[in-house]
Amino acid sequence: MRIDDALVQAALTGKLDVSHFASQGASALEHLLHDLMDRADPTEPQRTLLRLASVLSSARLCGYVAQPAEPLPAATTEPDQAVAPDAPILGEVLLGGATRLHHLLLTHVVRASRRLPSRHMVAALDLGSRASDVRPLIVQAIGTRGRWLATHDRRWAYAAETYAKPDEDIWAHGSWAQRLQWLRELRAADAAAARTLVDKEMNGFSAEQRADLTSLLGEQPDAADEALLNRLLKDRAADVRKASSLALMRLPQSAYAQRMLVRLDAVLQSAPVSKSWLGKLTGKAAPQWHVDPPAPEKVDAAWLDDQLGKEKPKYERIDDRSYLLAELCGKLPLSHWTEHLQMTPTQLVQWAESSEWKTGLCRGWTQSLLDLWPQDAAWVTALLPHVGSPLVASRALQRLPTATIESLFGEWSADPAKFGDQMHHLALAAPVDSTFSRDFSTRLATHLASLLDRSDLASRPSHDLKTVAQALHPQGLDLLCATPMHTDAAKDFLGSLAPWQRQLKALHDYIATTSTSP
Amino acid sequence: MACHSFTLIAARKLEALPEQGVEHMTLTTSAVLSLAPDAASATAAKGLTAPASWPLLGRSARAVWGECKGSGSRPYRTQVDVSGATPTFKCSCPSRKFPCKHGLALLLIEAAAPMQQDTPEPDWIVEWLDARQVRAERKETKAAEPPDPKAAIKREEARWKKISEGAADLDRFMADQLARGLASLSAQQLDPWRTMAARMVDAQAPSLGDRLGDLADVVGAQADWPKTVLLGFGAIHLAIEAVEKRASLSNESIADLKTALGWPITSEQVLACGDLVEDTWQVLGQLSELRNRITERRVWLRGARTMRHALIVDFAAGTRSFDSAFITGSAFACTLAFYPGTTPLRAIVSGTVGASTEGGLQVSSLGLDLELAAASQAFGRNPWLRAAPMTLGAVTPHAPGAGGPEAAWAVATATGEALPLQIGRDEAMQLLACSGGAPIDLFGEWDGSRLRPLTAWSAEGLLSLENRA
Repeated sequence: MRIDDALVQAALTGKLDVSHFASQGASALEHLLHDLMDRADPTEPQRTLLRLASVLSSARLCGYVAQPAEPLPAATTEPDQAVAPDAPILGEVLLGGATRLHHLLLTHVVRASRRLPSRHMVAALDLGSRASDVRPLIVQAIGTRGRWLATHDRRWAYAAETYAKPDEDIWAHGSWAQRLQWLRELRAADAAAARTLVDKEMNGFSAEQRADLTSLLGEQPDAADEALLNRLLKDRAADVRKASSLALMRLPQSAYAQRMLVRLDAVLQSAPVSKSWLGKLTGKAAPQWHVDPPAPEKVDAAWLDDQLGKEKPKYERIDDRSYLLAELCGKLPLSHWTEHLQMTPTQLVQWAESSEWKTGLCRGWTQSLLDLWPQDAAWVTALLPHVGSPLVASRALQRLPTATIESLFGEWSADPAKFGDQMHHLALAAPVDSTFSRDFSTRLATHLASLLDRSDLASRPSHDLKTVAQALHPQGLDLLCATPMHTDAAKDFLGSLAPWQRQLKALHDYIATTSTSP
Repeated sequence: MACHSFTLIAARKLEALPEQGVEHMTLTTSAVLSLAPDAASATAAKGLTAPASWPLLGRSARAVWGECKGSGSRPYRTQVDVSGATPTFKCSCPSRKFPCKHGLALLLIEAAAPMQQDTPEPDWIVEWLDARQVRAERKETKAAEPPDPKAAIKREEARWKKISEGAADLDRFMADQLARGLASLSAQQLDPWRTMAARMVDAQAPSLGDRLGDLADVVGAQADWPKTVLLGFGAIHLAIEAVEKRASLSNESIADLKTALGWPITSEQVLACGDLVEDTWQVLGQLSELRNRITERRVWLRGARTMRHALIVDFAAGTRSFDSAFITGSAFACTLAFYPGTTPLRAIVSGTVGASTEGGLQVSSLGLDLELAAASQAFGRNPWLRAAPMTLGAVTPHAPGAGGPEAAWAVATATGEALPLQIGRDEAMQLLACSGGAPIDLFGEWDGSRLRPLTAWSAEGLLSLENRA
C-alpha cells in the first residue's frame, strides 16, 4: 500500500497502524515520513497523523509531475472561412437579445460568408438549444469550428449532427442530418448523380428517411425526376407519397400536374357566353364559371393514387365535397386560375365569395400559395381576409419581398381603429431577418407618433404595435422615440422600446460597418 | 473596499486630469457601464437616459445630480460626487444594488453630453457634499496621528496569545475527528466543524476557520474527499505548528503565516514597508469569486521590464462594484508595493497610475517543466500560498470524454504532458471554441494539483475566462 493511501485509511478508521509502514520506501518523501514516524510520540497517534499529513500536503503542492496524456483527439481542420469582426453587441444579442435581433445578426453573418468569432460560439449554440427557429441560421453562422465544438456537448446535438469530419465517407457513415446535407450538396452539383443514388438506395431507408429524401428531391425538381417521383407516389408510406405529390406539383409539365388540370376542367363549368350587344355592355360577355366538385365516394381509384379523395379527418368541419375541392385546388398552380379564367386574383376571390364553394376554393388556393411558393402579392392580398390562421397568413406574407410588403401596406388610416387593423397585418408581414426601409419606417413612425398621443392605441393589449415598431429601421425608430408624448400609455409604450432601440442601433451600425465581403 | 490607493487604475475609464490640485474625472460611456454591479443594472440604466425620465438635472464642478421619475409618487433624488478620482453615488431609491441604475443613468447622460458646470447646488447636494468632506478630513486627521510603537507591540503580543489558544483548540478538534475516524462522518456531524470554524474568527485567525469550513463543504461531495480533508488538516496543522514555533521563523515566513491566519495588514503598512517596484504592469488575467456575500477579485499582473508577477486582491460587499476596473490584456505604468513574505505576489498600487494601453501583451512561458518548478519553489517557500501564476504556451485543451466520470478537463503540451484543469462547463466550452483543437497559450492559477485558466490567447485574440462563482 502506498504511504499516502495508508494515511488516508488511518484517517478514515481512526487507527494509525504503524505496521502499514513497515516496508521502507525508496523515495525521499517516504524516508522523511518514516523518520517522522520513528520520532513520533506513540501516545499521540492523531497528532502524528496530522504531522504526516502536513508533510504530505506540502509535498503535494511542490511535487506535481505532469501526467502523460491520452492521444489528442483529432483537431478540426477549418476551411478558409473569414471570422466576423468582434463587437460587444454580438454577445449582447446572443445572450439576451430578442428573436428578431438574433435573426438580423445571424443572417448578416451568413450572408457575409463569415462565421461568428469563437468567443460567441457557446452563446450561439446555447441559444439554438433554446430556440429551434434560429437553429438553421446558427448552424451556418458558427462555421466548421462551431459545428466541431457542438460535438462536445449533447445539448448541441442539433448542430453536432451537421459536423462532418474531413475525409470521411459521410454518405456511408455520417449522421442522418450530415447525409442529407451531403446529398443536398451533391444534388446542387450533379442532380442526376443524386437522383441515381436516391433511386438505388431508397428501399434501404425507413419511411421517415424516405420522406426526407423525397422532400429533398422536391426542393428543386427537374423533369428527369418525374419517373422516380411517380414510383414514389406508390410508396407504402403516406408521408413519402405526400412528399412525392408535392414534388410533382412543382413540375407543371408532369403527367401528374396535367391530370390535375384535367380534373379541374371537369370540376369547373362555364355558362354560355352572351353575344348580344346588351350582354357585352353589361359585362356578361365573359363566361360565367361554376364549380361542381364530385363527392369523394364517386371519384375513381386514380384520384386516390394521386393523393386525392382520401378520407377526411374527423376534426374537419368542412363538408366532404368542399374538402375534396380544396385538395384539388391546392395541387394546382395559382397562375392556372388567372390564365384559364381570365380573372385577377381579387376578381377570383370575389367570384369565390359569391359561390357556395368559397371555403374549399380559398383554402385550396392558400395551400397552393404556401406549397408552390409563388411570390405573388396580388394573390396574398386577395386571400388575406380569408386566411383564418395568423400563422398561415404570416407564412404567406413573409414570402413577399419587403419592398412589396411596403407597397401593399403603405397607406395608413387616420382612424385609430382602422390603423390598428392595418398594424395587425403589417405585424404579420414584418420581415424577421431585416427591417423595413428607412423611407417607409420614417413615414410610418411619423404617422404612428401622431396617433399614439391622441388615441388609446398605445394602451391596447396588442402585440402588433410593438412588433411593427421593432421592425422599423433605426432612423424610423429614433424618430418615433424622440417624439414628445403626453399620455402615460404613450410614454410607457415608447419607454418599453428604449432597450430595443439601443440594441437595434448598435447592431445596425455593426452590420453597416461589416457588410463588405471578406 | 480594501485599497483606495489604487482606484486610479481606472485611468482608462475615468481619466484623472490634474486641475488646480484636484483630480477630476472624464467620463466615458463604457467606463460608466463598467461600474455597474451586474448586466441587468447596466441595461436598466441605459433605458433611463431619455431626457423625459429626468425632470431635474444639474451639474456643478463637484457633483452631478438629478431627479428621476420612478414608480413612487415622488421622484428619486440621485447624486454623484465627481470631485475625486472615482465617482461616489447616492440615491433615494430603494434598490439594494450599488450603484443603482439611476446613478449609472445620471453618469451616462453626463458622459454622452457633458452639462455646463454652473448649476447652483440645491441644499440637499450641499448638505451631502459637506458631510462627506467633514468625514474625509476626520479620517485624514486620524491617519496623521503618530503610531505608538509600545502599544502596537502590546497589541501584537495579545493577538498572538489569542491565536495560540484558538489554534491549540483547533488542533485538538482535528485530532478528535481523526480519532473518531472520518468514515463515520455524517452531514449532521459537520455542524461542530462549522462552529469551530466560526470560533476561529474570535481567535483572530479567521483564515484557518475558512480552511476548516471549506473542508466541511468537501465531505461527501467528491470521490476523494477523505484525502482532501486529510491534506487540508495537514495544511492547518502546519500553520498551528508554525504559530507555536514562530520565534524561529524569519520575518518573511512570519508574514506568510500572518496571511495564512488572516491577520490583516493595512495598505499604509504595505506602502511603508513593502517592496516598491516600478514597471509597466500587464494585466494577465483576473477572476471574481463570491464568498459569504463578499466578492473577492484577484487580478494577476506581470511587469514588462522585471517580468515579476503581482496579484492585486480586493473585495466588494454585496452587490457593490469595485472602485476600479482592470482590462485583461491592457498595461499601465505604476509603482506597486508588495506585501511582505517569502514569495511576494500580492501588491497594491503606490501613487498614481499612468495611462492604460491596450494590446501588445506578449505571452511568455518558461515551458511546462520550468513553470511547474517555479510554482513548486513558491509553494516550498510558502506552503499556505493559495495559488501560483502559471503561463503555458501552445497547449491543447482535452475534453474529459474518454477518461470516464473521474477524468477532468486538461491541457496537454505537444509532447503529451497534461495538467488537469479546474474549470466549469461553460468556461471549458469557451476554451475549446477558442482553441478549435489547435494549440493555444494559457494563463491561470496553479494550486498544486489543478490549473484554473483565466486567459487564453489564440489566433482570434485574447479570451478572458472571468469566473464568478
